[in-house]
Amino acid sequence: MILAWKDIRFNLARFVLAVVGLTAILTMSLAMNGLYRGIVHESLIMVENIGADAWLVQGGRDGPFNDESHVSELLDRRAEGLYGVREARRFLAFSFPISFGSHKERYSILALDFPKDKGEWMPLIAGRFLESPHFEMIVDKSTGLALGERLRVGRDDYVVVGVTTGQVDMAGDGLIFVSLPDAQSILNVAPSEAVLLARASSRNQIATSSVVGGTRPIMAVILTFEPGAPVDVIREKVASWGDVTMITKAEQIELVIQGRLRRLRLQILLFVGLMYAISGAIVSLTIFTIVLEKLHAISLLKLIGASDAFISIWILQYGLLLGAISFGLALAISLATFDYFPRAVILLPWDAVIAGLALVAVCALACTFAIRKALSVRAREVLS
Amino acid sequence: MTALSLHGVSKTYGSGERAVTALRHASVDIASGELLGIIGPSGSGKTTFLMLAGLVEPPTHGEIWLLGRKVADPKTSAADLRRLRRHHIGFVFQKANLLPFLTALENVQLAHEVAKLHGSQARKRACELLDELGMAHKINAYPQTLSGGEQQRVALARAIANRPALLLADEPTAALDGDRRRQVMGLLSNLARNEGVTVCVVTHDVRATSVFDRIIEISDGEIIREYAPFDESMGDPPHLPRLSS
Repeated sequence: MILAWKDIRFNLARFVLAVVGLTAILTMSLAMNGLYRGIVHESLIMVENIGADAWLVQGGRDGPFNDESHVSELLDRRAEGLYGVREARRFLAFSFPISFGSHKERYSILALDFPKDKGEWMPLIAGRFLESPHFEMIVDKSTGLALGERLRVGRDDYVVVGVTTGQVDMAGDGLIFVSLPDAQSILNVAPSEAVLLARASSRNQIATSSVVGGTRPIMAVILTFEPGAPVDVIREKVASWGDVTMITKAEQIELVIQGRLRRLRLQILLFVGLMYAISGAIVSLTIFTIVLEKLHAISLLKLIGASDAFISIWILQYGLLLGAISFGLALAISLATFDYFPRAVILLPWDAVIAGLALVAVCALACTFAIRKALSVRAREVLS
Repeated sequence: MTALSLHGVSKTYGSGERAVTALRHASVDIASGELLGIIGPSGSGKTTFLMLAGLVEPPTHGEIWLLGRKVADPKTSAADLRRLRRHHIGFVFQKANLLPFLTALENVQLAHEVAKLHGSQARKRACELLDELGMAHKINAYPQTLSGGEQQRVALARAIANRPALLLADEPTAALDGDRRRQVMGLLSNLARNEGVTVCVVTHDVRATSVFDRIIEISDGEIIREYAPFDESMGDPPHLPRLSS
């Protein structure tokens, strides 16, 4: 006879209410954990997916994700001459407002160094990759733009030739991919008066170059190495140029995580910890309260000779069933709803396993306290 | 044969100035199959006597013997007493004290579970007991749907499920009306007469005393009198013939 099951069956409403409360708090905890994973994932999408083994960035800077970086548009030609470098592509990304009738929306635009890069490293769910150096774009599905849609960006009209998925910037906004020349044109869009003023002034070279079409800056150069390329030798050679710094993919990931994301990660991790602590407290309190209600029944069991193990198993079964059912429901709700959140909420299997094991441990600990209380009851109290 | 013996048993709660002696130097031998009544005013020590006889607590002084074996003295652990209760002693109270989330059958089976008796034999025994007590049609009923008398019969079935040598009842008929009171006392009497179970019943109900083989009266924590079987025609208990004092 599984006493806990009989107990639950009889007091089903109370058990269901306890499960609902616990499921809600566990779902919140899993969501917070998933939000943390999602932010890290989204922040690293470009770094990890674009096919870079290393980045050449402005000397002394930690760009282009964690810091400002502007390098010569011709740097890729220098880089292609390095021993061990298979390919060098120019990188440029920026956010830009696009008008839709009366309202504007900001999108992140990422340049593809066409024809070396047609976007073939990203997964397409509709359409094709870039085939022309101008006026074509691939969009992430989260932008809401549809295949074949035409839209005006800057001074030109573009057509959506491909739709991809999972390509977002650090803020979680969907990316738009255009060729590098198009991206530079879009970036250089400025009112006529601003162009005239910029030409008249040569005091600030960067400011001028960013506005006037004459000089076309890029943020970095992406390097793809040959297998077994001598990374340290390449780094030393780049360092000898003096104007740029090489950052490997692993270093770039570390820069993003420990730099730009550090405070945000700590903040969310703190919340994750708090949520799990609150979940633990609620589980403990629920189990302890339920046991307090059963003290008379426990004293009766003791009177008729029930062993400590018999009573402990009842409480342990109740606590673990409460935890297991709540966790199962929280997991199911998480898997069913996380895809609909505005930003990526990622539930890794290992995170779910750790959360489940932690909950089992919390339930067992809570049951231990409850069992201690239960075993302190004396048999004669059944008469009180 | 003597089923239960109390030799100079005392029970004191608390210590120092707060010490209260609830039972003092109680000595009594109770034979197998005997139906013993225990009477006395409230607070006289009847329930303490029952707690000691039922091995719920160890005595502060003295020894308790069950079925010819010393089973309790002041040093006996609670775990040892519990083990003995599990197999040899059954309890019935004024309130049935059934677990509300178990059906009548499951409440009886609980005694088997506690004694680690499982399987179809245990279930069959529980069903038979409920049948004998006229509860066959209510085996799947929950306690709150049963009348007081029905609950008490289920409690009785649970108490005797493991064939105890000793059944202790603390005012089992106090909450019942006349017919049900007679029914429960009849069941207890049958257990003693036909099953050989030693039955000790604490009662305030003088009308029930006629069924007892012997009555002991406790006052101020001491056994002050023992009476012979009560005959209703003789009137109230104070006029009972006195066996010893």
